[in-house]
Amino acid sequence: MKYPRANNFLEYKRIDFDICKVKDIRTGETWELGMDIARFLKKLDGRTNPYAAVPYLDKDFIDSILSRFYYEGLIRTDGRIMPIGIGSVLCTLYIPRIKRIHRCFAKLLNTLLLLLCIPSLICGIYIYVNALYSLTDGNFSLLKGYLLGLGAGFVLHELAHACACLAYGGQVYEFGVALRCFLPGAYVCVDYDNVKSRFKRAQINAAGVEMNLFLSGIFMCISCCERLDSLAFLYAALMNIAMAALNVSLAEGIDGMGIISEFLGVDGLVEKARNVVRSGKKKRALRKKGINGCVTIIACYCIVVFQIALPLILVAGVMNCVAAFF
Amino acid sequence: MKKKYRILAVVMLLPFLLSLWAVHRRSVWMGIGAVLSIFLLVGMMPFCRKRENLWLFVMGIYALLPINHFLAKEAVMYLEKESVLQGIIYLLTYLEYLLIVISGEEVFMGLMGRILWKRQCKLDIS
Repeated sequence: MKYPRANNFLEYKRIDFDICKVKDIRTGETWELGMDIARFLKKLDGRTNPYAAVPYLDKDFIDSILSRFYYEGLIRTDGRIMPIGIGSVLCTLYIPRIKRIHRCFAKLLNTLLLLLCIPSLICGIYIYVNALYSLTDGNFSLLKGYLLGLGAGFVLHELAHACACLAYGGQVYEFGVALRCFLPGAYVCVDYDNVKSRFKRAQINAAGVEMNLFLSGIFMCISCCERLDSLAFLYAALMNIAMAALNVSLAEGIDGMGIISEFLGVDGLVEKARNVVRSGKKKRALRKKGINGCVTIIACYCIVVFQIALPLILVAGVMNCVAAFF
Repeated sequence: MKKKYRILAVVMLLPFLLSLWAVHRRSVWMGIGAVLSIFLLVGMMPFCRKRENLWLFVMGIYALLPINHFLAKEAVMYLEKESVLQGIIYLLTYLEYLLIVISGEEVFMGLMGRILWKRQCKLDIS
């Protein structure tokens, strides 16, 4: 039987002895609920019978609360699949319940990742270059390598973002798979508005790329083992390097743009740059600020031009597929 | 714009010339020198003060263009250009690699910029 599930994008904050402030981080809407009601809402995880969760409450009263929850969007009704544009869909796979132990573990993993990503890559390249002669080819090495590289790369990339976010005090809401401009991928929904340091925010964005570099180093090291299918591991390493390269591109919604936005100190950089490029009034205002204003306009044009990266990758991929057949 | 600033802006072309020379001579050290010269100029110029990352972002794009063009061209060297389709694929892949190389450099330079100059103004485009 399917039970109601509370909207997983809710943030609970106790503001008084018996009042809890609930905020939907997607829409920014807030509600003030009694503590008992908020606790009841928290218990709705899709697996718990709402009537059994609070047996001391009257059935009619629970029905009225549930109908209020449905009406105000506090209960998730949109299912697992959420379309977000042309060729872009999100599919929720896992909604985590974060506890203190998870944060401790995330801090440890994030520190290890920061310390080991570059040494692992250098070590992998060094070992690979020195042991190139010992590569062995197995059956379906290419396919196995692609699957291993993509699978491990996608999953651990998102896990690295989640770990970094938890390590710096942010929130992780859900994991899932996504189609973005018809390109398959994975996603993790995080919120790190409470993290003030630009460096930490940039590192949350960069954690995925760090993980891909770390993985490629590890796969290169393993590829030198003669007993295993070393060619498959080499392909997996190359896949991860390619993923890291794609993820630093300065396209909207990609990690690279997130990092640059933090370094330049602007949220929603692409949208703001587009507005500057479109608006003559804004350009005139910036020009009045002298050479720095002019450079800002040039930077905005550059950022807008960089947005062709994602469609370009898509078109190049399609063309390569077409060329492979003809 | 003041005359002094115009002269300084012309000096800002130095990294571009250095990277052009690096590609011409196929010298890695000259390439590293071009990158270092960007940081040096941004650090020295008075109008870049408190806006170092913005200047690094813009200078990184134009000054290192010859090196990036060379790297992207080397990366797509394996592609054939015999038919129209292959030509289009070559061009698209070249552009894709060029953007990725520039993006990687921008991220690296942004990181270094933030490490070197911690106190910076936010980009005012709101």
